[in-house]
Amino acid sequence: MIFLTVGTQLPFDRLVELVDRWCASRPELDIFGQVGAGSYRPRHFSHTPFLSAAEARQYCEQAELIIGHVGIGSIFTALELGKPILMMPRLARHGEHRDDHQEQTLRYFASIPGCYPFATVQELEAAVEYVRSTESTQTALPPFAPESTLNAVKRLLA
Amino acid sequence: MSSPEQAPRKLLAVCSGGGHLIELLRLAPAFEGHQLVLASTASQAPPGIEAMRYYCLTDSNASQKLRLLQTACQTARIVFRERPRAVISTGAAPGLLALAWARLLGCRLIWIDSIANPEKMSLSGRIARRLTPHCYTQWQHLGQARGVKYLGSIMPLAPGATA
Repeated sequence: MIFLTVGTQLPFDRLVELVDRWCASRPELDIFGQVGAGSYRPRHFSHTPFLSAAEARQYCEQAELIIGHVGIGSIFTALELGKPILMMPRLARHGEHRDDHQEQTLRYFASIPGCYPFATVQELEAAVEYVRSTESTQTALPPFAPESTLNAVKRLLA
Repeated sequence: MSSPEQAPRKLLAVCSGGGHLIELLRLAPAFEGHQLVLASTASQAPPGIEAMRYYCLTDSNASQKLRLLQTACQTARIVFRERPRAVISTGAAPGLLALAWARLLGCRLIWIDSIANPEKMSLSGRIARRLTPHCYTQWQHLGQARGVKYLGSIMPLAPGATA
């Protein structure tokens, strides 16, 4: 199963529609989507507007890979489970966020093992093929910040 | 009679739900030894963290004036009831509001800007640096800005970071 998530704050129709188009051409795909309160209703995969944090985590646990916006919640949930996450950034010029910080954040995360950027159906398809055909070297990210960061916070609280 | 040093140190950790909460939870081991009070917009207390109390807040942002007012009232009530020694936040509006109230009580205020702001501090973070000398970024190159220091990242091997 592939889990699509757009997060709980804002809709992201451009991503939902892109995944729907991909799904239309690949009927064998098993996708479940948390698609937010957008106006586009996907026709080729089952979906729900919202999930609780616990439910979203369960879908991530079951998923072979995760498709999402560049949300910190989705990224860390995927990385801590050792699952690949394929991401498309929200862009301000499409009214998808107040600025382009998701694009900036993706530039960093694209260099992290298990994170893959895409902007088109072709790039999404290629990323999925790559993930499926390549032996994974991705290891689960520890659930906590590195020791040096934790120590810095401890010192602040001392 | 116990001296002030021996009194349990109460820490209020407050942030929005979603990514901000995930970032805060990644810092949880640093909260050990404190009486932790947690406040966020998630409907239930997140699993895997031991807090003495959890408060559910109304989610709001700068463009939702009425909701912002609700969050302001909720955070005021929490801060004045709990009277923590320190308040820590990873963003966004709910955290900033809690810091603003806690400043009136003279609490230690710690702001850690989200990792999702690699090119400039968040809007809340830019306000937070006026409230506290403890305003931090997770991006080393942003630590040069006035009123902001580099803390380290919730990710191992942040680019540009020196171990």
